[in-house]
Amino acid sequence: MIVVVGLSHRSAPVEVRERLAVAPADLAQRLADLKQRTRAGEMVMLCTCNRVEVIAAIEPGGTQTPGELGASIVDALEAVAPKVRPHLYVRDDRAGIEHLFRVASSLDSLVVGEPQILGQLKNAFSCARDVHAVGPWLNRAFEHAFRVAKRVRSETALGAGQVSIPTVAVDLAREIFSELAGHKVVLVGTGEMATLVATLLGKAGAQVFVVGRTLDRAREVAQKLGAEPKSWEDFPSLLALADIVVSSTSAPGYVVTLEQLAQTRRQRHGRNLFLVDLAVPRDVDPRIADLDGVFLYNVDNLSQVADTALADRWREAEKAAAIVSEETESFLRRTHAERITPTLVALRERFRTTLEAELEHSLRGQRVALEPAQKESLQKALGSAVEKVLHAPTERLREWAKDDNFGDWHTDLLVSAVEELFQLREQAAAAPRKNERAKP
Amino acid sequence: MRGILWVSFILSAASYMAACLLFLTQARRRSAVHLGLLWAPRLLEIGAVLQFIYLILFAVMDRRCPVYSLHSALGIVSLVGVASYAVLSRGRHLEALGGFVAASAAVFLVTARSLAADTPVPDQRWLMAIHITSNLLGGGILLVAGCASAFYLVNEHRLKSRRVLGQGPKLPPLESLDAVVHRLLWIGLPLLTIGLLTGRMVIKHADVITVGEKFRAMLSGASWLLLMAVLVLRQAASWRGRRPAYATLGGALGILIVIALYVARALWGEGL
Repeated sequence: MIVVVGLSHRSAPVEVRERLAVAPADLAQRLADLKQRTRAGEMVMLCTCNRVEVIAAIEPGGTQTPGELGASIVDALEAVAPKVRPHLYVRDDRAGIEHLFRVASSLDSLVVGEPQILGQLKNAFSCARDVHAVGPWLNRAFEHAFRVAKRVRSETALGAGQVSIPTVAVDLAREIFSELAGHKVVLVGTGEMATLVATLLGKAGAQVFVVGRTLDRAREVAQKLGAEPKSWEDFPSLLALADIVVSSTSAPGYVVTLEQLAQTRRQRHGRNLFLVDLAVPRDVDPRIADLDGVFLYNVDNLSQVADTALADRWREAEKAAAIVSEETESFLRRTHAERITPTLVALRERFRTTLEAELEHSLRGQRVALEPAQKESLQKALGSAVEKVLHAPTERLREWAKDDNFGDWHTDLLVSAVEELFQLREQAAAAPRKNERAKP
Repeated sequence: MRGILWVSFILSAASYMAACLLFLTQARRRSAVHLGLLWAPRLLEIGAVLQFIYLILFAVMDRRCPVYSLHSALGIVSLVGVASYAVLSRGRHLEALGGFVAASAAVFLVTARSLAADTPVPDQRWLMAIHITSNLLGGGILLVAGCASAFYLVNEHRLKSRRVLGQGPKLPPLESLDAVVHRLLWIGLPLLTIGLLTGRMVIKHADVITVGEKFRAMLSGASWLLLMAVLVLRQAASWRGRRPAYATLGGALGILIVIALYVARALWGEGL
């Protein structure tokens, strides 16, 4: 049984989220403390800038209910960060599993479809495994969550398109130039967004030049970007070399004019030019867009592309939600069926040992001494008889456990009834422990 | 042997169609990694290998050189197109173009199957062999160049208009397409030149020249001129972008019409 307790950008403002946030270096210690304080069997703690969540499972054979475990986690978090309680949500059973799958698939993210959350979830799981806080329940749930996220990525376009202006600009540059390595980028001005675009282009392998009104300011920005500073006088010659120009100055007039670009066309040898104008008022003469091989985008054009991509993602989110729902059902069905397995193992063992004991007793009474081969053959026959007798009830019990119309209580009732009827309590208690040790 | 021939034909067509579907699915998704990216080029290559086997078997059973059979000739054109794409597309994100190449290969393969293979063997066998082979190879390569130019124009329009961005399939990057077209022209045009020169020699010795043959020769010459102009202007005056793409597309369309006329002649008579 899995319980999720946490807060996210949906339930808490940043002032609250930051009070619960944990630095990556302290995560293992915080996890160990919480696990000990709440007596949870298994626990993973996810901490990102948009959410802090504790995903826990009840200790096998423990008497804690999911509600009690959830309440103890809430208390523990409240102790860490007072007055956080009203912002916390608690989800258990189906809702808990579905929430975990939604988070992994990036359906619950601030920017739906962003890919970082899956990596963050994997890191959180890995950290918990390192401190031995993960057992069979969470192992199974997280492995399934990673598979769901992969399925959502491959079957929907949830992560497609770029949804921020800098990434849209880089994506467009790739549509023109394919690989950006070796291409020359000129950053004109030192606006924040333009600098971010240049940073991303630089990371993609482009060679970046920074042009500022003063060389000192250009040097300052260039140093941060790992770029080359250039003075304003160098700009016309740079324009002839450039593949991409990112402009964001506060100049009242055009910084890149049609005449200026026309003069460089012979030196450019027909190469494409991508102009990103992020300034208001605009830096680039809009008539330039009519030139062959020149692609001009201003801040409105880029926003429009980002908005379209975001709207597409929301459309895809519906498909992704359907996949998550389907996978939740599948996971719960399998989990319910697996919960009955130790009882079935114990039931078989009970039948087999009883029949063997009876046979031994009977043979001893009649003073019959069997050859080892005969004894082995008899045991095989007994084993086969047990299999045949128990086949139908086993299948029926598995089907009932998988039945969608019933919840956890139904599986629990079945397990209890079988254990009570055949006095399996001791064996059933021993079997799951053996089973759990075998799993990674 | 007939069984193997049929199996290779069917499997080749199926591989091309599956590759086409995967390429287009991959192009439709704007996210980075998908199974299509891994399997589509493989299926295209498998289709090409199977088509090669099919063509060899067909030639053996037909007991004639493949270049004298229009059926085999069309197969060679599509095979050359697929091979050109396979070599030049590596690392260039040309999935949408791959879909088009795979679809064209399947169409050529299936169309060829319905054609009669009884083109008479001409008198000047060696000259004709060189003429047909170089035309087939050059034609196949230049048709792919035409496809790439069409993609260039569509993507350039998308990027210029700005309104449609972020929607529809992900088309190949402009510079990749430009580089591919340039290389294909360098490879295909010399072959087409040999084809035209040998064709001129064949016509010189022919007893009767039909109107259809004259028209085909003129169209081939015009296409050659257009494509040669693109190549020369690119080298001499850095001619790149929209205009050379239009010219390359025009040249490739001319070649496609010539091939279509050959097919029409095979279907409806010598007069064409």
